[in-house]
Amino acid sequence: MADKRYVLIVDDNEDVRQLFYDIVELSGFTPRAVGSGVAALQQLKTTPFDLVILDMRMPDLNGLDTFKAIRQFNSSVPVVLTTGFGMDKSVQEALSMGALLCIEKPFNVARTMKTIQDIVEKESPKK
Amino acid sequence: MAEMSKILVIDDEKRMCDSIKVLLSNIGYEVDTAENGRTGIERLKSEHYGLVITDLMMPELDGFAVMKYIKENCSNTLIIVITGYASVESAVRAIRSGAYDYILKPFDFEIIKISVERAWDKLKLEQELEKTRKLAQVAERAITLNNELNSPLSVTSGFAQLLQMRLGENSDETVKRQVNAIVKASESMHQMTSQFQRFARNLLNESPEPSLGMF
Repeated sequence: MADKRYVLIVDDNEDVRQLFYDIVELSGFTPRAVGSGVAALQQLKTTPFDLVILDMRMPDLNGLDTFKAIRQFNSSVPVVLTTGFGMDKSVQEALSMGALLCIEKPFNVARTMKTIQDIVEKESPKK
Repeated sequence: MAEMSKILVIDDEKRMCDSIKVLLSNIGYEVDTAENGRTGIERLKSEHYGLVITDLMMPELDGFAVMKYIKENCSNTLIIVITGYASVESAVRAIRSGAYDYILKPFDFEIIKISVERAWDKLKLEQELEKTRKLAQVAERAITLNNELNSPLSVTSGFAQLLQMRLGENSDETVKRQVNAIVKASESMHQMTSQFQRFARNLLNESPEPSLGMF
């Protein structure tokens, strides 16, 4: 399946992870879900993802640091942030550094699906 | 104000103790007395006093021993020391080691009254400050908990919305109604937590984080 598009989900909350997994799948893409920033970096080094959905509040490596680390070796993969803590400083910093947008929890599923689809189609159209 | 409602007067001259007690009681303070440092400390062990007025020169345990006990065991209690004109240096020493004020003997009652009132104002202010600090702690904790609630809330709401999508036209009406209710309830829970969030931030004089409001 050459035209499979991969979306990486990074969230320390297992249920939120599963929720995004199902949403990505329903959106027509192939989800991979990990529970930490470190695991996300490992995934990104081996798989070419079309989108990363990144939680901002995580123990150990938080969302902002994970985002910065991703950008050190991958300048192009689109990153969408998620947060339950409002548009705080770390969100704003990540947005100013090129993260596309932030989804605030809880969120509207239909709108989120549309957002994910728009980004994947626009940023990495089918080859 | 239960915590600061009482004054303890410690003086080996019983007449002195009694007259201070009568005078302060007359203007509304609740006063206990002790005839020396040892009984004073015994009283401090069994009850909380906002203010202790103690003579410095006493047999057995003197005023400095009482002060030492208070510093080590009753951090919120203020101390006023009483001492004779002949020993001003000891008053200075007492202030240096943490007494709030000193009164030189012989004294006019007005002097004691002023000193006690000043100490009382300070105690009140400190209590208010403590209350404000605790309130701020509660508000901060509430904000964090509210934010943390957004994750489980997104789980219930999100999966319910997914179920809504999967339930087609021909699905059981009862199931549809039940799922719709979960979605609606999640939305109102979110509205409530957001409202509470604004309230707590207001309390802390913090402006709200800008929100995109996905709901």
